[in-house]
Amino acid sequence: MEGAKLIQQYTKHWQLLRALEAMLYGIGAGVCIGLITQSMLWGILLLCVVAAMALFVIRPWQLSNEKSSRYIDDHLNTAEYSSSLLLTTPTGLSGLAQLQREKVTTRLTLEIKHVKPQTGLKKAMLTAGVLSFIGMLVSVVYTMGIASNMPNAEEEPLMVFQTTDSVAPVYESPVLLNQKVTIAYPAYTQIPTKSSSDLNVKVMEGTRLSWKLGFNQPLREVRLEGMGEKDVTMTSQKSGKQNEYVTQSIVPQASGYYNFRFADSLGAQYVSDLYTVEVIEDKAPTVEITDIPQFSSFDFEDDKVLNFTAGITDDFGIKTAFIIATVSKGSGESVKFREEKLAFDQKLVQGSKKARLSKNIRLDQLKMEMGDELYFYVEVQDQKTPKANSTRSETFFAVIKDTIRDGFGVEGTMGADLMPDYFRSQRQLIIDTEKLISERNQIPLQEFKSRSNELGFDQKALRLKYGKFMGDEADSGIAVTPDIEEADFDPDDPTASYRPDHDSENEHNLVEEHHDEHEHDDKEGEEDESGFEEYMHKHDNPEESTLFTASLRGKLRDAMAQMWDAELYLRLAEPDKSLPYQYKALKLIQEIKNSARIYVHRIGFDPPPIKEEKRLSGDLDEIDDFYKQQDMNYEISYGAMRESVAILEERLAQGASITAADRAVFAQAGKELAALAIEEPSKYLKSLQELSWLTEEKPQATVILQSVRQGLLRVLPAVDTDPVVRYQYRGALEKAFIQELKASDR
Amino acid sequence: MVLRPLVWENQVKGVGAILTQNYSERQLDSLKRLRKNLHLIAYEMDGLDQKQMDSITTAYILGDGMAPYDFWQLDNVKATYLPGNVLGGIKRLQYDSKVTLGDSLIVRGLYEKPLKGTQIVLEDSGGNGLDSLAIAKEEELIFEVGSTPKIAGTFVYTLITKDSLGEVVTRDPLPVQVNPSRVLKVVILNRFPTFETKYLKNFLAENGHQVLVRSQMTKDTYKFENFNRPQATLYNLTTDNLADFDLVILDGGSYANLSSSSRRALQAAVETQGLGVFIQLDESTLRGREVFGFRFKRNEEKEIRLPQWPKVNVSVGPVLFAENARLQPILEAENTLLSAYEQRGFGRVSTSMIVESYPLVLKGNLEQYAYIWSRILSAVSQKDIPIVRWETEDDMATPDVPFHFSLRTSMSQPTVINALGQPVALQQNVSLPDEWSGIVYPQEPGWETLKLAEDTTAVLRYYVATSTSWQGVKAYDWRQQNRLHFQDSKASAEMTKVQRLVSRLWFFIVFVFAMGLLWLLPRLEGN
Repeated sequence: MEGAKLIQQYTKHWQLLRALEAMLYGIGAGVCIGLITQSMLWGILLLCVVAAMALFVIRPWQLSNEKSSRYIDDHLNTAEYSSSLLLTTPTGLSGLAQLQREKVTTRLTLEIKHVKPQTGLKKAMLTAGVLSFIGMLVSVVYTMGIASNMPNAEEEPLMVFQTTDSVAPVYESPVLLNQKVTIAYPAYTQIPTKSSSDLNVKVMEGTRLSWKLGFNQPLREVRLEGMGEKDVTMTSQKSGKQNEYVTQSIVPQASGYYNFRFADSLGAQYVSDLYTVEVIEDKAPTVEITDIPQFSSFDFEDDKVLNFTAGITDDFGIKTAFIIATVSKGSGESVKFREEKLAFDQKLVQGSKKARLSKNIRLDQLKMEMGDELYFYVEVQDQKTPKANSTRSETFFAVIKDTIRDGFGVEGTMGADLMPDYFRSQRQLIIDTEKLISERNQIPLQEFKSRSNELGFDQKALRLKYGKFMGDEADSGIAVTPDIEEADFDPDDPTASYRPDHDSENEHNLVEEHHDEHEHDDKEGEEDESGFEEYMHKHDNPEESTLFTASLRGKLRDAMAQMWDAELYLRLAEPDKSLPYQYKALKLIQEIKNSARIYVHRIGFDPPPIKEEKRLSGDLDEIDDFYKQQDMNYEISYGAMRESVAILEERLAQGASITAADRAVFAQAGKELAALAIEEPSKYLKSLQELSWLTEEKPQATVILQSVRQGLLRVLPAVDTDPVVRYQYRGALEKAFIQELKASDR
Repeated sequence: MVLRPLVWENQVKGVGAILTQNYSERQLDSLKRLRKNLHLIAYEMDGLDQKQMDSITTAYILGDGMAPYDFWQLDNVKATYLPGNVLGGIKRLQYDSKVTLGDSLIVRGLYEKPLKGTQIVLEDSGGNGLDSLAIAKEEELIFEVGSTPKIAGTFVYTLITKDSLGEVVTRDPLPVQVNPSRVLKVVILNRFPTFETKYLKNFLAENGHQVLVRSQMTKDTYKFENFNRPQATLYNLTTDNLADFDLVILDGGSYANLSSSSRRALQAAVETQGLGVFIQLDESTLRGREVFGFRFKRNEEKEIRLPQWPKVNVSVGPVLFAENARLQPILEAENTLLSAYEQRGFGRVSTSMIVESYPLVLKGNLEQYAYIWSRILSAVSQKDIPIVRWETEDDMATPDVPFHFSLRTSMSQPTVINALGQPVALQQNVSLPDEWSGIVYPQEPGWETLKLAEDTTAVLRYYVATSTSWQGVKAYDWRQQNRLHFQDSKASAEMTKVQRLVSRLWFFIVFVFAMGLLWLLPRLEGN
């Protein structure tokens, strides 16, 4: 064999061993975890992970021929440190070297087997062995523990039958050989059909149940009681030695109890214990919309896009999810609605339990215009059949602002819209002024003056605002804000048509204003106040045709005069002096506001005053007494259960046996208890079971009676609080006593 | 000679110590030291040996004492009672053995020398725990446990004491008779329909009570609403038509509008028949400071909270009760009397400061509404018991122990029979001819009955508890009775007068003397 090949083989062998070592670590860990968790999947997963990690640590691929030859040299004396010669090509070697190469090749061919490659194989094997042992130990202990906790977890004990007759039959009664309930979940839940010998079942809504019982002898009749209105007769089918009885599949509508009753071939009756059926509802899906606010509004120029994501979950799978969007146009009586059903941008995977769907709504695509509003919500349905559960999300709103409609007025009470917030009201001005005064000592003089001046400006803006209603020209040259100007020139402004081009009167308190800013107006005003005035037939005096009545106008004028003075002192940086004027102005404005309220006379019948002596003297002949009779049919809650306890108490005290009448009460009590126990059937099962035994003719032990009494007493709710009649015996003694009491009272 | 005459003779006798349960050895030792020839007499609950009693003139009773029915045996003996060791446990017990369904059963007791961690548990007849308390301090304690019976009938509740480890120490029966609640017959007279009345009548009618509501619509025209009772009207009140009702609820206006004859009839029905009257305060009545004998004072508080429900506000009217000795409280909260009644003859008249209670219903506080009205109406409405009233000295009897009962009846010659139909001898009270008393000797534990032969519906049910139950209570009771009975024993009589046969020798001496005289006299005369 050629020397190089020898070395290569050796290297491969070594690599393989090292890989095996890594695998062993993996196997050890995998087996251990697999046994502990009792899950193949976990075992394999851990095997892969640990093996990969070990491989990565060991790195067998890094073993090269050179490394092998060096290793051989180190461990095999006969190699004479020449094994590396085998890896070279013989052609370029010296004669001696070639000779040595030949020699080493022959030696190695024989002895290479003795050179054990350096591996951690033993360690790895030991680790794997120990890990597997631990896994085995844990799993054995664990399964033993489970086994001792739940004996025979798979096979439920067969149900117990009791004879219902007071005398047990002398012959051998039929024996139940096996019992089985088949649970077929609704198809959409994708839970496979299951069979169980445990007859207490917990099922989904719409699940189909069928039962199969096997007996050792043919029976006359086997019935299933308690499922639905009527008892279900089970049909017989012979299979092998057994006589099997099966039911058709039944869909339980609500939680409840059932039991079996059968009659053997001689007619003796047997009844089984009670078993519970708990029906669990399929929950409705949930929808949650995140990342957009409930209200969004857009300007017309904006990019009107709504982006949102809906997180949808359901317990068994979602069927559909869509968006219902409603666009409303117009307002008041002319409002129009348009509804659209929109799909999400992604496609919903039917039957998935969880989904995150997003949607991008472009309002333009919905042909929305200014002032239009969009309402939308997400509706989700699950796969439940025949009637799916559906859920709606909250409703979200989006509006495109209609800027045309925006306007402002003076005060809410003045029949106009809102007052924009860039106006400070007189009250705010007062507050600010007082604040300024209080801070006077803490702030530099410069700032004090500047703030006072600013307040003066605000005072002016307010004055101009009110002045507008007086018909004063607001175009003062001071830009309060652009909006005001726009509003002032708004063709829709209701005051526009009343606005005079000039002031007609030159009252002294307006003078200042004109002196201040409208000196040219002054002259015109004086012109107006010519001698013609009293001869003129004035229809259209602009002053008279402001929004207010004359007295109001006077007040407003006064208010504005006060504002003037207030502004003056503010501008002079003397806020203290300004304050009294501001207060006066505020008071006047309040008065104006109040007088501007509109009081509408209530429309209604205003009866003429009646004479006292005529009162209640009308003709009432045709007015008859009114009669009403009603029976409430009061019944104490759980009457039969309460009566049962009283009966049991009596029977237990007397040691008497139960009568047929008692049994009827017990049967009724059983119904009541079953209705009460519908929420948690398993909790009340014992009492119900024992109560049902009491309804049978077979005499029951005292223990059972006591147990039923205890169970019923525990379940029964307290009686409602109710007035009671107190008894009092009245004999000669009491009469004398009362008489004495009365006498001493006076 | 044949008649065997007797004479009284003084005699000195011994001193005896009667040892009853829980006597103290130290006391006995001290006694022995004082009295040398002390006779020890054991008391075994079934009387004393008469022979032993004959030999003593003075007796010391040690321990818990003798049963009261054995006291007669010491009538001729100067007896002193020396109470012995007092054991811890429940020593006094008080509860109502007859309740009406809807009432609560409250058991109060006095626990002597409790150990820390002792638990007292009330169980129903089925063995379900109803109420319990744990004792935290080692000092005499008045405890209270309670529950509301759920069912009418006769039941034996159990009161259990457990030590700190949960081991049952004592288990004693509590016989309880729960009477079914009777339908209340109510008439409501209103001047105009109000919400208050509307909700009250709904509450009553829904609970099965018979309610007649008369609300005035206009002059002499009324609206009559009959719930759970046949259609009927009620115009003028008479003693006859009021006899059909347990309770009259009327507002101030209606009362003011009553004709004088109606008013008289109402008053008479209250005073002689025990009719209950509840007055709904309204504006007209509140204006006056005094209505129907109730005096009011101004009230600033608008709302008040009942102690059981501190979170529920109950609105109160503008006035409160002014102090009055005749007022009997029904409902109290925050030191304020919310509702009270006054006894008028056999009947009761009440009113409430809760002028508007229906907001409670509107806010969903039905429990509080029911509580308020149940308390008020239960306190006011009462009817006389028809034929007989049974009374027993004790709540329960003990086998082979005399059980005293008495009955009050208007019957001239009642006959009481036991469960077997045998008559029980009755003794008439001399000063109260309608009271009869008797004694029975129950044999077996359990429920027993006594009934009137004339009316078998008049039944007394009593419970015979085992003789071992309620040891602590019984012992305390006996100690008290012994102490009382023997505290004023007769004056010391070291010497007793005993009747003794006159010796025949005396007769013989008289005979010989007489004979000698007869023999001698002729001789003397003959000389």
